[in-house]
Amino acid sequence: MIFSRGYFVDSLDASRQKIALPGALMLLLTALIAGMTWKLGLDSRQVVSVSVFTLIVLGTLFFWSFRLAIAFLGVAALLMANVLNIRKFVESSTLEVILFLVGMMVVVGALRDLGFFTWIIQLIIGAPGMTGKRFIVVTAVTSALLACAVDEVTSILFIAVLIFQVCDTLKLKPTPYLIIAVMATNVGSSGTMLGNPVGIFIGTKAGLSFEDFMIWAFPVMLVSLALTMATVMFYYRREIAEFDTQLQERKKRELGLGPQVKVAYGPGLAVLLGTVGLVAVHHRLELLLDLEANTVLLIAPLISAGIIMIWRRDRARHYVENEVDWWTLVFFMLLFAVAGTLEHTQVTDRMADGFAHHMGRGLGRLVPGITVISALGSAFVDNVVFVAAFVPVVKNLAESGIHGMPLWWALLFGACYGGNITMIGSTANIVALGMLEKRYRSRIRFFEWLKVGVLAGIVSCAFAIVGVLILSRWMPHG
Amino acid sequence: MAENNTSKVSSLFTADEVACGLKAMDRAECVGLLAKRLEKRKLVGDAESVVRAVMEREELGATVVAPGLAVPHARMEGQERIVIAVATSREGIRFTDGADGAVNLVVMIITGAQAPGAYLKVLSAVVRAFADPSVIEKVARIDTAEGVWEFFDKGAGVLPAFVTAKDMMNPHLLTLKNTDTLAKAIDVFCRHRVARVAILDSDGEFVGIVGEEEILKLSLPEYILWLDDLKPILQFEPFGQTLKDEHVTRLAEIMSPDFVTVSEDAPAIQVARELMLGKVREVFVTRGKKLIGTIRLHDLLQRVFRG
Repeated sequence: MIFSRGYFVDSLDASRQKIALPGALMLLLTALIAGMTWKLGLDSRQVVSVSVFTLIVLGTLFFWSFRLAIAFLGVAALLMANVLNIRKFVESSTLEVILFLVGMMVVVGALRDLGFFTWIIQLIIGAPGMTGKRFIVVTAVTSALLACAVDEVTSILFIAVLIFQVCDTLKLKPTPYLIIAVMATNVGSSGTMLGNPVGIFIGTKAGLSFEDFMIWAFPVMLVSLALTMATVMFYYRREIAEFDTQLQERKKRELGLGPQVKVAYGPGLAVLLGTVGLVAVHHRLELLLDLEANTVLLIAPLISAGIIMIWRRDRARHYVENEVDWWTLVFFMLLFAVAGTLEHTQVTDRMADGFAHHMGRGLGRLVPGITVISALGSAFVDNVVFVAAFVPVVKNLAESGIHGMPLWWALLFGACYGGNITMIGSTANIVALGMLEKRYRSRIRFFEWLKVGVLAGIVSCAFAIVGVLILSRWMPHG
Repeated sequence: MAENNTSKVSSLFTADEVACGLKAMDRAECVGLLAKRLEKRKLVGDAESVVRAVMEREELGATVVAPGLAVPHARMEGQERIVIAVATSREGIRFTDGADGAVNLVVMIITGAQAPGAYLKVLSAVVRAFADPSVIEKVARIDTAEGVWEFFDKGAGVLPAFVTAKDMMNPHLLTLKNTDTLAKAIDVFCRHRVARVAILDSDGEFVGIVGEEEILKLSLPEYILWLDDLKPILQFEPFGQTLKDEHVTRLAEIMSPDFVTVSEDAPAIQVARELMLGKVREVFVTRGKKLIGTIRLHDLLQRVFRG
């Protein structure tokens, strides 16, 4: 699963002239924030940790392809300034989450090899009685569920290929259908801990289990998905009608949407069900074996990956070297360490105090506040970056006696659904747009996406707020 | 180099380098005769090495550039200036086997080893001047060497300032219409052994290409290529669907808009640039929206490095 925001943004900041201005702006903004935090009375260690974190946030915004380099330099600066030490660095880098993601990426590579994704695509292409609307709904639901089962980027990588195949066959511009699928993927990624790096990060930090996600997040995701789909399908109703016309025209000629082959999907399905099954029962197993919370959850993909690598030993090296997106994972590791520094230096305590001071301590204001802030933040900054900084704040709020679980869900839904607002809101968006650009040499304009993105963002976040507030009555405390 | 300061092909030779009204003979005899003439005039080192170099080049492919016209050539170490020798024959000089193998006009060009541009300029001037086969017949009927030289001098063969895409292109096009079926395209690929065919619309404008890749992609889309285990396609199963659809699938549905074009008057070096930057193996030469020829990377390299 190789994905990169690089090939999309690289073309935007290819020339040196385009580096100089944002570079200066990035440094200026960092200096401004450093000055402001100093004025607010933060000590020098806090100012340094805030500055480095700001630099990384702005780096991902302005120079996506340099984000890892900026993170390397940021961690080095924190270590040199004695704001971070090696022990804290290792603790904060959340290695367990990184290993979880490595395992999942190996599993996804094997699923592709084994024909699982080919089988899924062929099921949709060959489904009888397909109409334009049905195809869009089936594709959107598949995107969402696939995101739940593997992750959002994997989901969109395969669903985009399906959309391109069908649109090429029907001679349609794929953009609207791709946007619909990406939005479904982003919403779907909030359904389980597997859906998004944000989910597993929040889960491990908040001590939430897979079952918690299934009970509290999955139902909210399903309704949000239905509402989001209704909104975007209404927005693109003309394109869907055109899709239907072309599809019926092709069916009249008794032509299919693409060649189909008999795929032995059994092994792939077994791998996926085995992995997801193990993840699903992690909490029970941990209780049974008296293990620390989330131990089985985090090692489940490693168990699957290990078995796969023995079973398919000739492909083992390929899975580890080519299917694991090391670039992104190393960035996550450094990012978590830098965000951890905000916690060690008590910056997040002050942020939590400030948040509680301005928003109050009632869920009625905190849930919408956190959802909206995380949605807006994730619309422009990588949601992992945003969540990494915000997790300690929510943790502090929860530890101060406020009912914590609704706040975690608010953070999760805001971070996932906010990704739909802009075209750079989530990695899935970036990957899909990159594929579109590479294949059709066509780009989506920022405002073209924003118009439908804002609608989808408002609808899904609004429901998430209502859903979390309603469900909060039954959510466990502590 | 002398050729940079001249504007006519006639400035590169005199009547003494023209062998007029030759009897029927073969390629080697003609090349030997012209080489000896150049040696006698002290325009080349020795005739034997010229013959060897020219014949070596001929082995790579005959240099019959138009019906009735051959332009054999060689690049020689130590050759300081470009020299030309001309032969005419009403009876015909056999350059290749086959019905069109005999030519009536031979323009032999000898240049320095590191001067690809010189040969290409002379070649393009000669081809432009003798594009009409009747002109070649007319030259072949001239009885005297002076008369042949005068024919060249009076406008036939002006050296261009630079070689253009049109000079380098292959004007023999293989095209299909966008309304043609996939079945027709597959037949064309099999019969002519080409890698791609240009697609024209109803106005004759160039609108796309269909290549072997496009046809293969129809049968083997990306989602089938994900499979590591090829058992499901060992018997070429996905190709069955393509065969089923071949008579109803129009080329407009599968053609690719990804092709590189150059204008006919673009410098030939521009072609090399487009081939490199476009990462393609063939560029299409256009006049407005009409396609007039193609230049393959292979042909460009052969022309520049081996003439």
